[in-house]
Amino acid sequence: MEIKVLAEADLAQVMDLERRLFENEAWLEQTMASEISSPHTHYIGAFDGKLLGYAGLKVSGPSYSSDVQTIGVEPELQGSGIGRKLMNELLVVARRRGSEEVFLEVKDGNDSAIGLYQSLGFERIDVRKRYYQPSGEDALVMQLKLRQPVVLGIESTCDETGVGIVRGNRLLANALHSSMDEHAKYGGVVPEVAARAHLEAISPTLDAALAEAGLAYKDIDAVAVANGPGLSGALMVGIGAAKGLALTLDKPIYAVNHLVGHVGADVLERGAVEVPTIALLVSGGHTSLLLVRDLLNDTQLLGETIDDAAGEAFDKVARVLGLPYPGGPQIDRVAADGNPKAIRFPRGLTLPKDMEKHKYNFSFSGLKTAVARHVEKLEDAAEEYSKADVAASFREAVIDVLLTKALWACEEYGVNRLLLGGGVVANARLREEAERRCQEAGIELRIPRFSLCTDNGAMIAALGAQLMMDGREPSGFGFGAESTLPVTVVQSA
Amino acid sequence: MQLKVETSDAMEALGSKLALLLQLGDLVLLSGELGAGKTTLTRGLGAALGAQGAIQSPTFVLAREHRIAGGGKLVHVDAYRLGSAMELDDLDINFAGSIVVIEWARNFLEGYADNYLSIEIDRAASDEVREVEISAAGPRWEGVNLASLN
Amino acid sequence: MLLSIDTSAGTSAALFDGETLLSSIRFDDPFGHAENIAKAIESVLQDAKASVAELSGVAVGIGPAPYTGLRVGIAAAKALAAPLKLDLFGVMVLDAIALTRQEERILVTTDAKRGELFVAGYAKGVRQFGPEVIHPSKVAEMGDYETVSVPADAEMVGAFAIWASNNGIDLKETSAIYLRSPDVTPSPGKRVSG
Repeated sequence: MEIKVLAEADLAQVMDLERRLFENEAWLEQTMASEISSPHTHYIGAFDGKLLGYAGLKVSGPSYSSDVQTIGVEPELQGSGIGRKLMNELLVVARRRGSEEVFLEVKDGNDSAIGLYQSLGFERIDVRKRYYQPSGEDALVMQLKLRQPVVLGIESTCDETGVGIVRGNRLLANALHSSMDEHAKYGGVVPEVAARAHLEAISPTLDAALAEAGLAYKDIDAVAVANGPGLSGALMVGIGAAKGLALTLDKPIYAVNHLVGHVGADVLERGAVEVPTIALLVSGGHTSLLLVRDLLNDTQLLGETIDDAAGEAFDKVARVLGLPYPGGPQIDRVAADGNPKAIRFPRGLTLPKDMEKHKYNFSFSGLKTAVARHVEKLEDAAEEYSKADVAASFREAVIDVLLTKALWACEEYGVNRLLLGGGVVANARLREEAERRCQEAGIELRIPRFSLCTDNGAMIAALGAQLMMDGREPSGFGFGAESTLPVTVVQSA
Repeated sequence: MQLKVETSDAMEALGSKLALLLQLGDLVLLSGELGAGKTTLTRGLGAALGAQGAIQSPTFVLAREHRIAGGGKLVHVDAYRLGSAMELDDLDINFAGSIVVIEWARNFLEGYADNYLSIEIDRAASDEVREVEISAAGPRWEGVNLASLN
Repeated sequence: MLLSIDTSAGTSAALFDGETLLSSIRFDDPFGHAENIAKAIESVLQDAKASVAELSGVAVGIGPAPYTGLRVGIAAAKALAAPLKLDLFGVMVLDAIALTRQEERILVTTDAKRGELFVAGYAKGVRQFGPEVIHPSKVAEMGDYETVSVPADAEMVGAFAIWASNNGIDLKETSAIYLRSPDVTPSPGKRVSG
C-alpha cells in the first residue's frame, strides 16, 4: 500500500468513496476538486492499486495552525491501520509547514475515530452542538499541539553580525550588530575590519537574541549558521561560534546558504514559504535573480551581476559625486529633488545582443563608468551641473534594469510572485517603482520588513528550521567557509 | 608581448587562453583604467579554470575566492583600496594553493613577489579596442612561451 | 576539567583534569581552522570519555597570531563557554611557549606574516618585553637571548592557564591580540577618463 498526494485523476474514486461513507453529508464534487487543488491544502490517498482511503489537511501559515478537513477509509478496511497512516502523514506535513496546532472535528459518538485521534495526542477542547447536518449530531473539536524546533541562527557573511531565534516559522528574536560605521572611512567593507568586529560582537549579540526571545541556551534545539557566500574571514567567526555552541549544547548544526536565507526570510512574515516565486536579491555584495519553486529543493539562479553589485554601484557613484559611504542613502538624499529623466544612462545587458547569454544577468560597470565620465567632463570644464539630476537619473537606471529583468523572469517562467530582499530594498524609490510595475503586471510583490531584508540572523535560523522541519540530516562538523557558495547548495554537509 | 583585443568577447577569450599557462602558486597582476576589461579578462580565466561562483568585481570585498576544477582556488583581488603590498597578507590568501589575480596592481606590488605575470590593458583611442601588454618576471616564467596567448 | 583550544598556528585542543593532560590533538594545516575546530574539541572529549558537562573552564590562545585562524578558536571558545557560564581564560601564546622552555633568557618568535615576526623576551621565565611585531632583521638588536621559534598549541595554552591559575595570574582578558590595525588606506576614487 502506498500513500501519495491526490491528483485530479483520482477525483472519481474519491467521490465514490466519499458518497458511500458520508451519504447525504458528502461533499459536492466541485468542493472536493477545489480542496484537492488548493495551494493551501494537502490531500493524500492510500492506494493499493485502487483507492482505499483519503485525508486532507488545510494549512494556515499566518495562524500557525492546520485543520484536518476530512478523512475516510473503505468500510471493510476500517480499523486496519489505514486511518492511522493517513493521519500520521498529515501530521508530518502540518509539522513541516510550521503548524503549532492541528484541529479537527469528529462526531461525538464516533468512538473508534476519537480513540485514534487521542492515541495521536489530540485532546478534546470544545463541543459544537448540532454541527453535523442534517443529522443534528454534535461535533467534538479536538486539538493537537505540535512543538516546533527552536533554532538559533548566526549570520556573519559581511559587515553585520546577526543572531536570530525562531520557533518553526515564528520569529522570536532578531539581534544585529553592524560595523558599517567603522567602514565608512574606508569607502567599503574591509574584510579584516569586518571580521574583527564580528568577534567583538558575537557574544553580546548572542545574549541580546536570547534576551529578546526570553529564552535560555537550554531551550535551543538546533544551531544554524550561514557558511557562505560571503567574506571568508568574517564567515569563519560565525562558523567558529556556531560550532562551539552546537558542541556545548549537544545539538545539531545546519550550515546554510546565506542567499537562500534571504528568500526564506519571508516565511517569518507570513508563517509560510510562498512558492513558486522569483526572488530579486540586491545588496552591496550581491545582485541575484532566482527562480524558487521549492525553497529547499529547487532554487535556480537565473542571473546575477557580472561585475558590480547594485549596492556597490551606489557606493561608487556616491564617491564620484563626492558623497560619503554608504552610497545608497546618500544618493537617495541627493536625488530627492532630481529629475530621473534628466540623463538617460545606460541600462546594462538589455540590448538584443545580450539576450542570448545575459538576459537575466546584470552589469552596472558600464553605468558607473558612464556616470563618472559624465561628471568628470562637466567638472573638468568647470561647468555647473545638478548633482540631484545625476543621482536621480543614475538611480532610475539601476532600478529600471533590476525590475525590468525581474518582471521578464516572472513572465517567462509563468510565476506571478516577486520577492525582494537584500539591503538595497531600503531604497524607497525601488520599492515604489516595484509596487507600481507589479500592480500593472498583476504580480504579487513581497517585501519583508527591512530588518529581515538586510543581512540578519533570523533568516538563517528560519532556513535552519525549515531544514529541520523537513526532516533533513544536520550538517557534520567539518564544513568550512565557502565564499562563493552557489545558490543550488542550500545546506552544506 | 603586445596584443590588440577588439571586443569584450575577445578579452574573455584571452583570459581563457591564459588559464592554460597558469598553475597553482601563480600571481597575475592586472592593470588598466576603470572599464578597461580587467574583470572581463578574469571572467574568461575563471570559466576556463572551472571556477565555482561567478566572477564579479571584488572592489566591495577586496578579494573573492573561487574553488577551481582539479583542486585549489582562483583568488580575485581588487588592490585599489590597499595602501601597500603588506595589506595583501591580511587577506590570508593561501598563495601556494591558489592562482591569484590582482586588479589595480600598480607598482608597489612589483617588489612583493619574485614571480608574476603582468598584464596592462590600455583603452587607447577607441571605446572597444584595447592594447594589451603582457610581460613576465621571475624564474617561473623563464622559457615560457607567451605566444599561445595570441 | 579544563578544555584548551588554540588556533594560533594549526588547530589544536587539549583536555586537562587538574594538572594532568588527559588527551590532545593537533591539526597542522595553517588554513583549515574553521573545518577542524569542532573535530578537535570533539576528539579530545571522546578520547578522554568526557563530556562538556564536566568542564569547569576553557582556555584559549588569544594571539598574537595570524588573524583569520586565531579568531576561529576564540569565537568557538566564547560560544562554548557561554551556555554553561564556564570560566574563560585568554592565554597570550608567546607566554605559553615560553613556559615550556628551560633556558634562562629566551626570545620567543612566531610568524606574523607580512615578512614580520611576533616576539616577546623572557628572563628566568618572566616576560621582559612584548608581545611586539618586528622585522626579522631586528632580532639581533633585542638583546642577549636565545631564539625559540616553535608554534604554540593547545597543550601549551592549557598548561599555561593552569600555571597562571596556580600563581594568581588573572587571564580574564580574552580579546584577540592583533598588534596591528587593519591599515587599509582610504582610497581617493578612480578616474575613468584617461
